[in-house]
Amino acid sequence: MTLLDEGRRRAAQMSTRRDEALTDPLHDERTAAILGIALGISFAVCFLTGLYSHFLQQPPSWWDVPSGPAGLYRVTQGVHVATGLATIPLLLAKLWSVHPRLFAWPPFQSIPHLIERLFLVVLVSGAVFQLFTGTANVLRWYPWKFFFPAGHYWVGWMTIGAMMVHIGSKAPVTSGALRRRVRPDPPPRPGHLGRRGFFTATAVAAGLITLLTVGQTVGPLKRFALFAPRRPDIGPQGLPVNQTAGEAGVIESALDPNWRLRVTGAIHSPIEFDLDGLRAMPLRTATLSIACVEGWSAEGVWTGVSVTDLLARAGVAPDRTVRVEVVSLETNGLYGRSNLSPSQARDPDTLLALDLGGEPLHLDHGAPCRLIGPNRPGVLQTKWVTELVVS
Amino acid sequence: MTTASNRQRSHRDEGPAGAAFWVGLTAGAALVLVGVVGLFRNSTATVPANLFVWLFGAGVVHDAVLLPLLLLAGWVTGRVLPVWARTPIRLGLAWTALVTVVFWPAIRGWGVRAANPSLFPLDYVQHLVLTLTVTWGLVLVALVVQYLRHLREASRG
Repeated sequence: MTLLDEGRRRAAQMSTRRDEALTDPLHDERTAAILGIALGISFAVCFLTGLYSHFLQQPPSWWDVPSGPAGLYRVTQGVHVATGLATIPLLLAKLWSVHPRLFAWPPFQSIPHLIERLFLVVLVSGAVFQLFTGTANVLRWYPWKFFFPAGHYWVGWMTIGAMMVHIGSKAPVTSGALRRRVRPDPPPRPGHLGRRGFFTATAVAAGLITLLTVGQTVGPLKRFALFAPRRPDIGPQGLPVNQTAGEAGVIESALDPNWRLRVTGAIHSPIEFDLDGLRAMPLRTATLSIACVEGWSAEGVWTGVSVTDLLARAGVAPDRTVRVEVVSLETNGLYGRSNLSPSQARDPDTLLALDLGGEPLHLDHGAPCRLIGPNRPGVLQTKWVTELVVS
Repeated sequence: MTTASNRQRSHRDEGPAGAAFWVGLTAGAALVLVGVVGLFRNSTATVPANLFVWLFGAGVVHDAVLLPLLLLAGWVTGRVLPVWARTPIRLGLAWTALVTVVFWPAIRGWGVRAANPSLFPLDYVQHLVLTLTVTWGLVLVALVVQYLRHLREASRG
């Protein structure tokens, strides 16, 4: 009995301490509301840009993926990664701010309260998981067993759903805390940050994390990108490489003088080009960016043959709606094939590139020829192309 | 009831209620379900048994490791540092921990692949040293400013 009483006394003591902590401006409802809104916006941005990236890579069969604006994916994926990285200090600040609520006693007061707290487990775990796995992927570190894009995608749905439950639960508290005419905060106690100082410190941390990485996609900031895994100007021919010819196991086949590009599928009769034959086609030059899912991007001046010209040569009527599967020499790995939607196949800037910056393509950039097209994730800019299958 | 206990009561979570809660719950639970069903339907790629360890492990590591370490650091700095030195040093420590932990895989070169020199082309250790040197230089400046202010206030009062 005395043990039980002692337990009750302790719990009550903790509860009082918790209630006192919650009156501190850094832990009160107003701070939680403001940080919560900022987090809600940043998670929504990450979710929407992430969905866009997912559907570009795995488009539903009915969707004719548009080929423009050319640099759209570069922007959306750059925003996805930069927002995610900047959210790390924001999430940590929010979780620290509300941590006294973790020790609520009793742990729930009603069934809706229990439901709210169960979804909070999903929200907090999902938010930490998404930022951790996303950052690790950007830094090319994979300590887990699942396939990153699949895990990150499905947990994205769970996290955004749990966030909606949280928003619904906290809407009255949040709007009350923001609407209430509060007296100006008392000056912070000596040795403590006030509310404004806390927000400023969080924003500065988020801004610095951004500054130290975003130069991997925003060229003018590249010299500040001290921790970016890529620099847009470092690599063969001044452009980064995601997978080298050696890693793809294609060095021999790509250098083989018997290499041919075949156009096959739903056409009258398959046609075939050797490298000289391809170079004899009308050549077109376009400035297009490689934009990787990992958040780096870099622009190049590509010269090559328009896919739509190759289709014309194969006898495909100009008004026919076609899809084209682009096949690489790379046989292992997930990205040995990619698809062009009807709009992408007909965009004159969708090229089988032979040159980069006026020089023949480097082997690691996909020689003898590679696909480069507007508004496509880097992993779909198939390298070492050997066949176009028309359907 | 006293004012104090009234104020405290307002911080005690009574739980959510009202239309917003039920609308949020319905829509949100549906999206969570989309995620869970998707995870299990793509189990070859998602390896749910492993993924759930990482997912809920992430929450546990935050609540049971990161947060206590943060609270401990706050408590220790509150004990050993004079009041005027606390904010600059706490901010310096927080930023040091953040930048070091977030970029640790790059600093240690866990993702480096010898075949691909365009990946991790920079000297990340040097960049960490540079970042922390600038950080603690600024902390030092802030400490001097705070100390002079403290002396001025002490002589006045």
